[in-house]
Amino acid sequence: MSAIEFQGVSKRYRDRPVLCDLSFRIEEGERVVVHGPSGCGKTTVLRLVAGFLAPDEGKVLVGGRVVASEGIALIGPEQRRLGMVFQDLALWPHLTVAQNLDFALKAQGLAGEIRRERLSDMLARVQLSGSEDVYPARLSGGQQQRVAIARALVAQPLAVLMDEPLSNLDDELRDELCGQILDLHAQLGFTLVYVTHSKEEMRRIGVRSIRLREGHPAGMG
Amino acid sequence: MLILAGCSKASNPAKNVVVYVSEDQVFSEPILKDFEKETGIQVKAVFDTEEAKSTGVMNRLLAEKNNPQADVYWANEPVRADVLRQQGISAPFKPANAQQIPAQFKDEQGYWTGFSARARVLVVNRAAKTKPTSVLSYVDPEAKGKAVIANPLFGTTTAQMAALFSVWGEERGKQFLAGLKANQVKLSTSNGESADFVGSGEFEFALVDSDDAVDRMRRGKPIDIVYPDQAEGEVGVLIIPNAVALIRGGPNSENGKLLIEYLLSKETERKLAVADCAQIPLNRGVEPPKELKPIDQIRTMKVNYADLAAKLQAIQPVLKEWIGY
Amino acid sequence: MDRVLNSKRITLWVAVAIFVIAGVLPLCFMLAASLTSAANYTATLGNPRTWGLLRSSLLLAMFTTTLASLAGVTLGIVLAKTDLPLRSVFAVVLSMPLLFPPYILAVGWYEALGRGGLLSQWAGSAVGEATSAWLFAFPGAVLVLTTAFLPVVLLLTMTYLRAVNPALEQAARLSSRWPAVLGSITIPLAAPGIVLSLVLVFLMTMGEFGAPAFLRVDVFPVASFTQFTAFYNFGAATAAALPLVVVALLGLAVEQRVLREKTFQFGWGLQRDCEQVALGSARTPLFLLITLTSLVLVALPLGALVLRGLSLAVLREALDRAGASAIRTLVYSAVSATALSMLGFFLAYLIHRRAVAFWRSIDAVALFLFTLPGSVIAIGLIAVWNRPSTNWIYATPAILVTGFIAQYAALSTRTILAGFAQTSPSLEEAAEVAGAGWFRRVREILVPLAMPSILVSWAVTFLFCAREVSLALLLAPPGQDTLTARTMTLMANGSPELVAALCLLSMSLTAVPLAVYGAARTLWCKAV
Repeated sequence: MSAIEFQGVSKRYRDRPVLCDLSFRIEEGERVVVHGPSGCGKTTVLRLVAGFLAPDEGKVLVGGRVVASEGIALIGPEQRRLGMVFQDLALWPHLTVAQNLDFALKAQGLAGEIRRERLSDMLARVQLSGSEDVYPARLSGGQQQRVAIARALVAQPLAVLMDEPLSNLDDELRDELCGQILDLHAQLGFTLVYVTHSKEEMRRIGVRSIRLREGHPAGMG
Repeated sequence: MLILAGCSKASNPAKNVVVYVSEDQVFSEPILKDFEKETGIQVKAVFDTEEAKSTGVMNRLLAEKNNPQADVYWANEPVRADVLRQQGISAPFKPANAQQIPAQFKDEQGYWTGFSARARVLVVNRAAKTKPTSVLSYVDPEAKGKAVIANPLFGTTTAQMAALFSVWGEERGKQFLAGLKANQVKLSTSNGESADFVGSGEFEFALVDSDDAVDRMRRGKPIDIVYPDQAEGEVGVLIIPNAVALIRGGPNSENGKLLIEYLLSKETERKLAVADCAQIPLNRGVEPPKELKPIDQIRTMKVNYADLAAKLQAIQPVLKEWIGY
Repeated sequence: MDRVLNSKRITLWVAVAIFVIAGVLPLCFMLAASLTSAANYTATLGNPRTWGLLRSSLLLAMFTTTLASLAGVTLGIVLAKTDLPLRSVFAVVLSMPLLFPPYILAVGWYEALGRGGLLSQWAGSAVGEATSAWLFAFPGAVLVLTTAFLPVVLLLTMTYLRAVNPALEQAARLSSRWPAVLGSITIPLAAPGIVLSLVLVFLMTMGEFGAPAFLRVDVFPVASFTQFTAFYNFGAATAAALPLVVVALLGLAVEQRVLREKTFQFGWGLQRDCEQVALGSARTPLFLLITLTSLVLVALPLGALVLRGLSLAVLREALDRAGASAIRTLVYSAVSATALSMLGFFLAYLIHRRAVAFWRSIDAVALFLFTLPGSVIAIGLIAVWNRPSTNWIYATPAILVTGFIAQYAALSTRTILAGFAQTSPSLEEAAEVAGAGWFRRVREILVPLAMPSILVSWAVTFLFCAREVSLALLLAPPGQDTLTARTMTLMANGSPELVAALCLLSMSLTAVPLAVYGAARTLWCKAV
């Protein structure tokens, strides 16, 4: 069963075509990079997978189920069991690090004991044990990135989407976090869809890549 | 009072009465509270602002026509009570206590009954150079820029205009209005405001209601009251009584009738004469306020209030044009 | 996602339905009444004087808005961003005029500056005559309305200045001094709130009748008012008020042009840790200046008004006369403010996310209802709800709450909308992806993030409801009037001392919403 699949997906934004007849398949556990120049539709691909947009034509499948088809989102974002790291991280400023992570766990209806366990485990994996009661605004840039990644992973999603998560960081930090992401992937084996315009990140992260140019696939590899 | 006592003991299941009041709250509320105490019927009142300040109780009555919420309307002048008759909002009712009110001050068919009146008088500042004796003093060249009058689109001043048009005829009425403009008569928002301006010396004289005049006198303002047009052949003073009307289809009509009887009683008129509102009783045998003459010693304008209401409608276009709307 | 019926869409549609029932329905009734006869329109709109009055009002609105914005924004900056002592006290004092209908403020200014007023007693009658002549004219109207509406600009400016991400100011401070930072960074970032306050002041001035009438300045709403009060012509009164819709749309257009396409996402700014400007040597002179401003703009008219009421006997009489109306005002205003903030939250969300196709219309209609004279809305509500079958609404305070919702929906919606404009939609998206359904997102993400603006909306709508007169006079059930309405009715030949004491009572009511707001804000900042 594929983790994520696009079948002939097209999307327009105010009569401007953003994606044209895009089809691809991402298998479970794969690391795929979606890359291309600015404005080519990379973020749109992620937003279609997440469920914030519905395709004008074609179908989107997640976990083997058709989640959106021909203009209608059949299954909302909250039911697709995905994790996402946003470009601006979108950490909830009024919640502590622990509460940020716990939010997704609560949605699964897990018991408190189990939630605490998973939370601690994930924070340990991103080297943030002890930061449970800290508010995101008090963390450094790199630490905030790691919280965002931890939050995306903690609920054991079907797939994790990352939208240019490292673009605001310096080289050293970017390198470190790239390594972190690869480590986590090796440990946990999740499906990763990673959007970037950086060739360096593409090279390191992606086992396979989908290159877009003006909404059209310009190469799969 | 015996009637009231009897009725309240007999059979009144509902213990409420709803009254909309245009008479100033400071004066009317104590009377209503006394009614509550004496009968045990709870009074729910809606009071009014001075007309020029806000859209009030009359509009509410008119808007509620199809599903009346009020039982009684206590108007501070009969023209509005007559408007209710014209609109089919009030119901005829001839209370026992109305018998003592002269016929001139009540509706023939009982749609409203007058009581506790004001006279339209001139207040003159003691330091004034002009000595007005008539409404026509407003258009005396000597009084240019020295007089103030309340906006004739509102309240008792409207009634005054309608009365003058009735008595003088249309031509002379229009001349008078034109004369007011030519003589730079200022417009205030209310009779009370006019009285204040004369009391503070900002203007020399104004035509106001007698209760406004008495109030400023009692507060020590340097003013005198002049009853205009009292000489032989002159038009006399316009008397404006309060008027009470029963609302058709109100929720507690029987209690409404009790309230109307109470308002028309000698006791109520005595209270309203003695209070700061200094209203002139229409019942013989009730003492007027000490600053004012009893009603039978004043040369009054002979007007029919129903005709006055009709005249008011008729001169509307003239007034509108004069104001500029 | 757009066409599926889910709890989010149902909630938003319910909010729209409430707004339509409360505000649009009575408006339709009144419009229908006005359309029964062409004479309704020609009577006023065909009259050249009406357009002269409109010009007067526009001029009055422009001057008032300009002065209120200059003073309000400056004061807002000083009270929100500097280390001036007693900032909160000044904020409360300068907000007090908001508790009074402008008419009463006009009376206060008359007591201060009129012939025989305070100033004339101190400085001599010649001065009094001069100031009186000045007051009872256009400049006086500008002064009165500026002091009446300044608090709106002040409160909204303070709220949105505090929301600016300190990091953005810090970045600018590395190369510029504070005045440049304030001018180029802080104020532009607070623009949504500031522009909103200017639009509100403009519209309120356009719709204001009582104070200019007292000062004998003829303004546009006089046409509609006269149709009601002198001629009882509901249709013509509505027709006469309709040009205000054009003004409201104009205000909307101006606002959209100024804020077009500007996103004000500060990341995830929370309203604490506000960057403070150290005043240094400027502190004392500025403190004295603000004290003087407060004395002149607030203490003078309100003081003149209440000085007459300062005797135990009169205060006792006032409490006696006020009866339970003070308590009722608190209850009606609190209930209405709560309902308005809840409705405003969902309407703001709907407008911000453009969640329904006709979101623009909702925004425009709400703004128009805000501008419309309360009498028009009230008569419309009576027409809709005064039936035996709906007595359970009409004969209770619920009808007054409905009136407040119709009149002030724009106020709460726009205030909270300006708050939404400062947060990133990705915060809600992240919650969606994490598996939270609509109600959980509202409860745990959207409401907490919007909380500062929700609190401001609550406090401001409370004050507006408490001081409102037209709706209260026409809709409050018999025997259940509000304190402000009662003050206005008792003004008819009530002694100035009594009126003053009632105003003093009203003033003490201001303390309530501001105290609630202050406490809630403190609790919120501690919790977060």
